[in-house]
Amino acid sequence: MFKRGQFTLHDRYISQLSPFLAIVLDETLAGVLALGCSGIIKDFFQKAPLLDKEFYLLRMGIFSHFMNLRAVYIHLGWFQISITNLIVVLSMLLLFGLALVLPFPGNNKKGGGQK
Amino acid sequence: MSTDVEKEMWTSKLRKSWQKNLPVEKLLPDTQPAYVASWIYLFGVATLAALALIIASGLVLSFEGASWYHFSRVGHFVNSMHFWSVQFFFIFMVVHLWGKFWMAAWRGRRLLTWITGALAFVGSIATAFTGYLIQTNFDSQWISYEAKDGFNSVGIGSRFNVTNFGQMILLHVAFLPVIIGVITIIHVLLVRAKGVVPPIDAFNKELGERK
Repeated sequence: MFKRGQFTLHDRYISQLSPFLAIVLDETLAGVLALGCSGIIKDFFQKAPLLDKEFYLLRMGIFSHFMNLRAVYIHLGWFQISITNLIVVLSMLLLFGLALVLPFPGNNKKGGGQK
Repeated sequence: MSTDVEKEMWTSKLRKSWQKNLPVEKLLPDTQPAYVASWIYLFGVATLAALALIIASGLVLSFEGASWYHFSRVGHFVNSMHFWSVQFFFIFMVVHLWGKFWMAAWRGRRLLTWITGALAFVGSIATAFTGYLIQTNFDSQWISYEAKDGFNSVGIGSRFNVTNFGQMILLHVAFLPVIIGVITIIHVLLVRAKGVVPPIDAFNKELGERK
């Protein structure tokens, strides 16, 4: 159905996307379509011409298609990690740091808490 | 006479032990210590919420069939729900693990709570791996053929055949989730019984010492 090299125009910039971001975008698109939250969007995709490759790709999961491309790795000596995993690890570290420093709503230190 | 019999009965012993260690006030508390009012204490329950979503979406997927999501938009959505619930489940669990590690959460006779948490983490990884094998696509085919070499190399390939779809679906939707569920329930009950671990520098007013 999909032939590698057929969509060179999109390959050039979408392949630069992280596979993680690709999943997010694709699943978001799929979620909107599946839920039918917006009738306009759903109608738009249903009526899109089948032979139009851009709409066709959008309907079939354009971002998942580009996930089939090679993953991008960072390599520093013995250490190697994919961009995708690096984003996940950094997100977890950020979440951990924020959880430690952000004030908790309703936490009145003068009042001494609930117990 | 009856008291002697009661003393010997395992139901009586279990009831008394339960009432002593986990009375209903501890099981369903109305308040928590002041130090719990911090974002870092929320990741345990966030992990549980993600697990609930995983189970709910997984039940729908298993009822509709493993290949349902390939041809149904609703199936695709439910499959995505399952996938993203797992991602957030692990993200929350790892942050929960970091938080508990740095506050040395095994203090105060909470070692078993720590161990059950570690077991739940390891068991969840095994469960997630079996999920990759029942996607019914080329991805799962490739992963299973790579994994079988690993299992064969350590001599257990004859027992655990990762290319056997029936065996993997049994492990993923029944066997391993039941184990994870039981460990999780024990973990939560232990947290209720022993209480949430206080910060390292918290002062114990009852004992007059630092915990």
